[in-house]
Amino acid sequence: MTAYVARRILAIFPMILGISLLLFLLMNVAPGGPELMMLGGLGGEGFFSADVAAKIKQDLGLDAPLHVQYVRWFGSALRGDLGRSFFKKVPVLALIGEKLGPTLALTGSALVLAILLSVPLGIVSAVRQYSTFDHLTTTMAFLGISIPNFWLGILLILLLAVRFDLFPISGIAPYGNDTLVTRLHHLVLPVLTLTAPKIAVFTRFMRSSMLEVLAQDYIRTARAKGVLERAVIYRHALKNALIPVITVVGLNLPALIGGAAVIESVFAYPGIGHLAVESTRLKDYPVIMGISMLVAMVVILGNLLVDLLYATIDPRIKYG
Amino acid sequence: MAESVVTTRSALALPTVRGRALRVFLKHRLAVFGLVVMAIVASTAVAAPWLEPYPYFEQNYDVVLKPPGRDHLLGTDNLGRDTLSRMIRGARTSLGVASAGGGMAIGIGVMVGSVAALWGGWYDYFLMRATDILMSIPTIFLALLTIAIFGQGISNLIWVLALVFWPGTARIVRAQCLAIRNMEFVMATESVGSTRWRILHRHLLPNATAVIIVQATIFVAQAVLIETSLSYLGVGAQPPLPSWGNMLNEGQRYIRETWWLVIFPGAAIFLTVFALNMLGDGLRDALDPRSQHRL
Repeated sequence: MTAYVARRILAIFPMILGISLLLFLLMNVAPGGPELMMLGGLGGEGFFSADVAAKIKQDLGLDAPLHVQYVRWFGSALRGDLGRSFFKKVPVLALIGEKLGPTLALTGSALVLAILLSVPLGIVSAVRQYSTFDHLTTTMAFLGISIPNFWLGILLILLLAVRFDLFPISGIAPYGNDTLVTRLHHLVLPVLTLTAPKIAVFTRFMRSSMLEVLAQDYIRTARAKGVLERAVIYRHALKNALIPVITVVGLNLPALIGGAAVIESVFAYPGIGHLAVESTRLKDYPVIMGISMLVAMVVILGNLLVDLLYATIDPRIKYG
Repeated sequence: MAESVVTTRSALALPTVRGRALRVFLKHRLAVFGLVVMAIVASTAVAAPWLEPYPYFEQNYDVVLKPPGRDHLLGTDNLGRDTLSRMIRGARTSLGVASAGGGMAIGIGVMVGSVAALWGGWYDYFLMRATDILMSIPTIFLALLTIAIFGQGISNLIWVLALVFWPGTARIVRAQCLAIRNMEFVMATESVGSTRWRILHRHLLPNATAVIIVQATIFVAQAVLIETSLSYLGVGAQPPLPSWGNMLNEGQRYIRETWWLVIFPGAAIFLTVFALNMLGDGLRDALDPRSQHRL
């Protein structure tokens, strides 16, 4: 087991190297670099001489050969410096650090809320299969995955912020009144929006996982020897039914960082996703690289975590 | 009620596989609803230029931000453009991009999935690791990253959707091919000298068609969501070309004054995605003899 973990952790380094190299190359061979964005977008180059664009390229360090640029980037990345944003002129790491907190507050509370609500919903749906409650949750789940998430956000704004004025329309806190209370007040609508589709997915998953376990022989054995139904469900079935749910939650970890891009934009919430959208529009390479590497790390670590949790919880799984 | 169900069933009780599939599909009422909705949306998209009551780009400063009424059934926007006309043209953009992207994803996925299943070994290993990596990145982030690299625009949007959705298809096609591959009838044709290509196009793919069709329906639903999200974010379809997504973006700026600019395009996305999901669900019940049909 220790050897297995060590091997998995060692495998992270070549993966990170490979991903960063691939992204770097792709970004730099694509047409229309950031210098054109600085000159007023594509089509703006006509108004300036080629010298200006060349000068900007030189200032940004984009005139060096690709491999030199990559080694330069990777070298400073190893020393914890991801470069500076082309447009904001601040270090990428500081920029990401500043946005990470608000994003985690948003996506983290949505994830926790979704799990807390959908596990019991899924259990009851499975135990009372084909009941009115089950049909109701199934219908809600189908609506939940079909409703465009950003439209749900806009509807909530229209109803609860514009019509009833209960919550602010956008932002993270009013200027000059940045307290925990105002921040939480601003969090309510985005968290609600983000939680709804997750509940739909998790509930469906919990339901089918529970149904599968309830059909097992050992459940019948437990019932046959007279174990109380409550104990059958919560002691015998639930433990095993939760195992696949761990996978789903683990696979949702990367979404903690990069999954809220649209919702953050709907609410003009200054997080990582919002930053990613903005940098995409401007072709701000260092920022995009930085966020991508962060997401890549979380994806890799999330997968590792799921595998390890599996082995700890389920004695049937062994890694050699 | 019960009587009508019985008559429908007896009228369609054909002893064929197709008859059974049709019967199961028609019993799934939401799936039939989905089919009807999609037929309407798709023909609207195709016939858009002839259906629009006003040219979708025509600005009229006499009727700025007018609520739904007789002249403009769904109201007008901040430039006095007719919302209904823009919705109709938006159907063409959103559905066109989504089905082109979804179609390409299916094409790539079928090729990759069947190569991985039939050739196996290192091909299988590398192709499946590639799908692992792509599938573990949050979809919207992957899409944004691709746009950051290759730029904005309609044709790039189609490529983005293809990139995002091929891994899912590839894995399903691979699983399906592997399952059929070890069946006796395939071994039989192999023993009389069928080549791998022949096995693929005569035996594996025809047997995987049902699964692929169901998958395609669900992918187009998700593709509509991704396209409208990206257009909403301003990195997809660019104005003045309307997409339901960028209409929502423009409408949200006037959310204090209007409701129709955010209600109608969003409802169109919702209805389309819901219809496609239901259609997929019905097709799965109808085409897969093993699945238990509900309702």
